[in-house]
Amino acid sequence: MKSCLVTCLLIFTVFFSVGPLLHAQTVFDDENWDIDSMFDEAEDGETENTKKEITGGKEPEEDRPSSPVNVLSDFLQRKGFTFDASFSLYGGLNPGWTEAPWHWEDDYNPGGEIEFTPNAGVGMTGTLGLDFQLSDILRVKNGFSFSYPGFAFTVSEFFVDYNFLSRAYFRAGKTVVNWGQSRNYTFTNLPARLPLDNPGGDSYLVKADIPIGIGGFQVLVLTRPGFMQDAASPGVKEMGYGTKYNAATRWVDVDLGLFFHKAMPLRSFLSLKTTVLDTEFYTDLMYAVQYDSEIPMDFWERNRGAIGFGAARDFFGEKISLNLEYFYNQDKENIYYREKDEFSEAKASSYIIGSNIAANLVLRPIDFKNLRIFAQCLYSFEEKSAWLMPGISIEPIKHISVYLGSRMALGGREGAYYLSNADNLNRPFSFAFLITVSGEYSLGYYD
Amino acid sequence: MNRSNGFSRCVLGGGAGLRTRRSAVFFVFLLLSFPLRAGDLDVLKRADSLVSYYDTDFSAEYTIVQEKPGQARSTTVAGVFRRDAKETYVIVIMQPAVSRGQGYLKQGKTLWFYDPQSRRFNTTSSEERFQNTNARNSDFTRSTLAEDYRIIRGGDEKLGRFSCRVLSLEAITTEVTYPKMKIWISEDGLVRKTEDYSLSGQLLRTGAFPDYYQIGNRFVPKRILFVEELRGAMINGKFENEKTQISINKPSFEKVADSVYSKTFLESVNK
Repeated sequence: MKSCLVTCLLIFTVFFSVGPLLHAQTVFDDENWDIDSMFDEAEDGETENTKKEITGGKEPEEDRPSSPVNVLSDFLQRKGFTFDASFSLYGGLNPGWTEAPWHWEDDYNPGGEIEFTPNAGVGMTGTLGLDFQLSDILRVKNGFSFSYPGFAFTVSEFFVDYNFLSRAYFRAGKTVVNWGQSRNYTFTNLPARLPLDNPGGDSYLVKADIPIGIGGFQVLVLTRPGFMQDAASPGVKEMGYGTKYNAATRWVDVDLGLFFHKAMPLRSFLSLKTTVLDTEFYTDLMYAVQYDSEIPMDFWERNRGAIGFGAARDFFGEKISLNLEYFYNQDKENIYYREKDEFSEAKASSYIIGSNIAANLVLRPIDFKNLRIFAQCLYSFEEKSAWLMPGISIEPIKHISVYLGSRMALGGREGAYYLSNADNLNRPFSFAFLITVSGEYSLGYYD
Repeated sequence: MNRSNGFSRCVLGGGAGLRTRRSAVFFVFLLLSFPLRAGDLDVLKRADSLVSYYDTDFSAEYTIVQEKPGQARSTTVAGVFRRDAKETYVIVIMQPAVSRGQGYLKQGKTLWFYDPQSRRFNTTSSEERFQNTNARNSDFTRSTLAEDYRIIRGGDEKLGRFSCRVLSLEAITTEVTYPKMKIWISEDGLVRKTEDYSLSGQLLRTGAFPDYYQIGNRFVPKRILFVEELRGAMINGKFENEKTQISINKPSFEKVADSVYSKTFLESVNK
């Protein structure tokens, strides 16, 4: 009875707080409203300009930050929570594509190698997110997901945020950090790097951000399941340590960072990004030094680097989005942890050595059902191998999206993009037709 | 030979001279009809100064109601924090809960927003619409009409209860959202109405600033209304325009912590 009453009160409070927001009154409610009518004679009791006494209305005599009041304090001091839920059901055809989300073992050959995925499949994913603002300085966020097939339950995120006097912001738990500017070759995302022959895993970290101007200084300690021999008692030497400084000026955004892990070369990076005439230009540089190898190395084996630069621009009001990028890599034996995305599981991967180029094109020809035509192309000069992925997607009706795409490895059979296909028969072409039913809901309550 | 250049020269060689003469005659006619006053630039500068706050921070709660014909009305409540001396502002969405914590940080011409999916900061243009409303990101910053535009003609006009000086403006920089504007400035120096035009002279948006708060010698609009002239839908055989109403509440000139104007703050309040 008591829990029922509390639930009713909570629902009442939510709708009471949300109701006025949903039904906000405007001058447009008058059918005969005209913009010039706003300047007619004021109604009785109103004046043209309202002299308003505001909180702390006297001009500050000293240029010093006072305790946050009104809008900012209202926002930060509200305790409460946000609950997010989403669901997606997907199914389709995927001949030749072995990284389909419904990848499962052959029932008739359990544990055996999979030659190719079934031609048709179905899968489901549900996610739940809870974001608690416990006070103006403490926040906790959880994220969970369930998936079929496999009936896997995973904790996607679980971290706590602590605001120390608005001078330092701490975060600890299971979460992700992303460094660097590249959209195609994230080689300066140093926290994602892995030691050789290491499967990696989700990251657990403690980080502190100290704002300096627009940018700031970040330090972090990070570990992954693959870093530790005994996850129950991780050693200090099994963790990675990183630091990054961001200087965000009017003309250029600069990142400078360093990441250290005992089992990896010491890596540092520099990223720059600027916008000129509506075009975004960016460049990444990475330097790695193998400082304590037992194996004799010459200078170029001990000192490695990579550089990339790219540009991105929208045309005709975002109807066309184009991104071009060049990447030169001499950081051999590099491994990084690629996070799970829409069509592939998380896994360890590596960057191709030598010169590479990437092009991404997205077309939104008409504002109709979120129609998008897109293509991604990656090419390696060293391997003379290319990866081409054209596709089209549309949302014909609410909650339903349709995707049609292809992934093609072009070039020789010894090329990296051909060999990276997990298909045992090394078929260079795969095709996917996918229909997704999805939806999401969010509910929040704050004091 | 570059064919396109040759073709262009051929087209422009014959017609450009006649068009230029006609434009010049028309321009002279306009000047004679609506002469500029010596003080029009001062009027424009004063209009900027009354709503720009260089000596302190400004914060307020903005309630933005967007009306799109045929669709449900959407309401967003955002906290806006401005530091005009540094050409910086921060906008943080407070409601609805699904968007709570999303925000923008602008310094100069660069506008950052935090993408919680990729955990990265991306940049966008201040010309873009704010949360898919008729307001632009550039509407939340200090007023720089006198810096960004030149006055091409002026006139006097009655706007309801206000006697206004009407100025037609043309952009002198490409970094503004609208290349041409027409503004109504009342006798107290405040902008009351704006019409935003494309380069070709097409009316794109109309704005109204009917009333203001007065705090000392500073003014803050109480309400701002935008009517999109080209965006809308046919409802019952009649074209209905998209409209946006912005109500500004809890204005304050208290100094805000420096950390608010940082990417770290945006990331900390975001999901």
